[in-house]
Amino acid sequence: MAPCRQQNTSSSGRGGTPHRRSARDLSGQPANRISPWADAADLTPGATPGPTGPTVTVRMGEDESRVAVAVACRPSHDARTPAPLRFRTHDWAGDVTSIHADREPLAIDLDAVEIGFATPDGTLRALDGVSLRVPAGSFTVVIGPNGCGKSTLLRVIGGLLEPNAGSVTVGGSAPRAGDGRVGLAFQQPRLVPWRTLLENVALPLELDGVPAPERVDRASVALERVGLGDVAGLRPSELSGGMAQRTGLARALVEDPPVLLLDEPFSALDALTREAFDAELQRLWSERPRTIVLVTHSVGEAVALADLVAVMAPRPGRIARLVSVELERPRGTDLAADPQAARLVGEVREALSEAHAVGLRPWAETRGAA
Amino acid sequence: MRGIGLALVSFAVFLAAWKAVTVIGRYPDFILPPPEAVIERGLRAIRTGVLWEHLLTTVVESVLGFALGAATGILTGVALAKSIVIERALSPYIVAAQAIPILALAPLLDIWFGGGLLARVVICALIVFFPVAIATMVGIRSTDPLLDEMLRSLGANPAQRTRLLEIPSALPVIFGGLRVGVTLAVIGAVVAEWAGAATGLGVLINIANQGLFDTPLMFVALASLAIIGLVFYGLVVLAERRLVVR
Amino acid sequence: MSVFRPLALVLAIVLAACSTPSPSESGTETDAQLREITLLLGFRPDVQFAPFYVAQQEGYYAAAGLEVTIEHKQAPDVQRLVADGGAEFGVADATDVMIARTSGIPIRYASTLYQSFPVAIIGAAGDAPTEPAELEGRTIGTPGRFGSSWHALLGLLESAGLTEDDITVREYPQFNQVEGLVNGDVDLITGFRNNEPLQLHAQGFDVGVLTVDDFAPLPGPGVIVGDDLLESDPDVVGAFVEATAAAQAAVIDDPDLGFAAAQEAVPAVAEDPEVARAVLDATIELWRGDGFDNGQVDRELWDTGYATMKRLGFIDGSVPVDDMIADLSGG
Repeated sequence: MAPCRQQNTSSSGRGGTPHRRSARDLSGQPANRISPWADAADLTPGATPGPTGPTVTVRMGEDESRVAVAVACRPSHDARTPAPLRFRTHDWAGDVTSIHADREPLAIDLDAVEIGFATPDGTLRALDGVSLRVPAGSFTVVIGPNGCGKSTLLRVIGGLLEPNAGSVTVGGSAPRAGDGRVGLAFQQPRLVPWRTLLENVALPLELDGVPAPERVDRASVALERVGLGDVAGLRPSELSGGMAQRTGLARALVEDPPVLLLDEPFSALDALTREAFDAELQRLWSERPRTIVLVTHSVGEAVALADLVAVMAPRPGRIARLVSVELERPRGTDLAADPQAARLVGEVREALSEAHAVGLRPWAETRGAA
Repeated sequence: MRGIGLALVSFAVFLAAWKAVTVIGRYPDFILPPPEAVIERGLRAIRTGVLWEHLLTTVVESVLGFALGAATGILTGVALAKSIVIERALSPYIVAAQAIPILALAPLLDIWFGGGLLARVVICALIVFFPVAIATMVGIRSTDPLLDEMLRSLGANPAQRTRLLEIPSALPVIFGGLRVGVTLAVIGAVVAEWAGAATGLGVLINIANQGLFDTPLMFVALASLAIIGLVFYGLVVLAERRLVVR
Repeated sequence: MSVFRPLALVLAIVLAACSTPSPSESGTETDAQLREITLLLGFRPDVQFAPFYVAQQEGYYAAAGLEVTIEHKQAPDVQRLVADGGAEFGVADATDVMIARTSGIPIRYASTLYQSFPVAIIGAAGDAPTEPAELEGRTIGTPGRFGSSWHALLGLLESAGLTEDDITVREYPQFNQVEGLVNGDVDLITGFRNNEPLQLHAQGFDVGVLTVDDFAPLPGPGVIVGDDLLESDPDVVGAFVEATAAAQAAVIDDPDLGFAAAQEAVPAVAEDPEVARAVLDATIELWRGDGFDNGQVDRELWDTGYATMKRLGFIDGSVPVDDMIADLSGG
């Protein structure tokens, strides 16, 4: 059995189309012979498995119409004999001509994004002309005082909010919530209380109409990835804070999104747990490259995780300073020992306190025109 | 087991208190019959088959009335919760209708709906409707906005959010409304019968009272209504235990 | 241990609530001059209660040493309250008294108010039956399967060898069977001779009536009294009955007197005086019957009626007629 392997070929950079309902078999034959769990490893030379498996694009027939394909690849215990590749497709015509990996990390582009909210006191400018280029596969941390717009920024990237002005693109096209390109984990676990962990993690798949056996499979894989494979049957009320947070993370990763957004994911946890989770996050990221944007309050966390730290200031919400972090990876948690790290921490801290100072000025002085 | 023992003890105490009241107050049988008179009368009514016929009618009316009232109540409650326009347009009429005693409206409704089982089911449903609709509205309104945002971030459309989040999260409150509604259904059936029916426990109450001057028989009818109410309530609680996951 | 304390508290509350006076304590005399009496009349003030209004207003009761307060209740509360001492007297149908007494309610029929049985089968003129046999196969509207209307209907059927199965019954719990007759849902209705026919006449309907007197005689409504009062104060009972009968005789002789008294006591009279007057006139006919007898109870009629009710199964005969009628002869 050929191993699950990922082929790093070109991707056109367009966002993948959302998952559809039908599950079919790719067998090099006409599409109407369907078996959801076909072993098609032979059709994917060079494909390597990721945390939840690679997704591939199947090009069909002459016009090579692009087809989004989701692939669940169950990691085997024995690295030398990986499980067969399983996947489903939709909307095709003709024979399979080639299969390419689709799920490369995507770059994020914000160009002069403005968002205002109407309040009784006038318009609150949550984001005021924010521009940021996040390279594909990089780890960016956004840090800033309360009200600086960092959570708003995350929601804009995730497709939950539309800018009043400016543009935002993920992988070259506008983000749309639920299209599977962006995974979002919140500060609170936000788990559905009456569902088991497995059902919670499977939720994005359920919304996309993935059939139940495949959902269970992929959700189990995701939970195993975050170390909760044994407790998939528990309910959220039975979990500790850390376990709940990890479940939220597993849910964000279950569709193997090329972009992962994290809104203060570990701020509710104690310091040591947080450090451990940060280390795990780095591990997950290195195993399976993704574009990650993480929001935090913690300077230490920022410097430990980021390639680039964006310091934001409030009123109006904007990026005050960008600090590039070129420390070697993997990074330990004890950054104080490293003078370069310490310097970076100091730089970020200085930018942060400037941003805080801005925040302390009275609202009326800095209020933008309503 | 403990629960049943406690229930039996409290029932025995209730019977003893009832008996004590009739003895101490020296109430004659035709004003307040003692428990043994009611039990004896009840057994007689069961033997002659009289009780069964009336009981069955009332049970059918209240079950159908509850089903209709609860279904419309839940649908209306969802609509009220999700649309401010609908709420503003409808709730004055719903509330005003609730304030009008159904006993006064029942005869009219009986005529409008043809005076048969349908009319009684409608009257009963009207009584069940309000608590269920309000409970549904409140339950859906109290959906956790954080979970709602989470679902939006996964691309869930409004129908999915309603099905996967709002309704399951509202179920405990909805079941609270259903508990109230199911006991009101029994009352509703009786009120409907008083508007014009040939059989039913409400009719039996009238027959016992005005036709036979048989107060113990009236109490038998009342006790039957209470038992029906208890059984219905218990069924709703059972359903709640199975459907509401906590 | 701790469960008994709240239990005792509950019992104590319950016992404290049982502070209703037992029957023997009711009717205390607060005024040495006039005995206070409560009289229960039907659903609401009506011109048919003219004798009582006259007796109040013209001093008949006062002369008998009674101060009468009228309250409005319906069967079965009237029977129950009178039996239990909540009120001294009430007006009730004789047939109901038979059933109530058999059921164990200790009341008795003390005097006759209606010499003629007021219930009749009413239909459109020309369509109404002239004899019970013509009831067969008809659809009849009635308030319900109880009360004097029902007793009369079944009595009429029986007299022609028919039963309930030979007719179709339609119930009107709101006592609006007149509407059913008007819009044709039913052929015939049960009603009161001094009520529905007048209503229908006022609406332009001509009607015919079938009465029980010739076919299934039954005693009509009268004054009822509780066993306890009869035993403890037979004089009061006698005085009340006499005063009422005297007032009634006065109204029969002078309907204007009765009408004037009713106008005082009944607000509805003012709304439609013509109809009220017509009702009063018709009612007087029913009171009078073959001859007003000052309220004397017609024992023969009672015996006949009792037998009919027994045959129809409304009573089982376990309680004799003697127990149902007040014996006021013992001075």
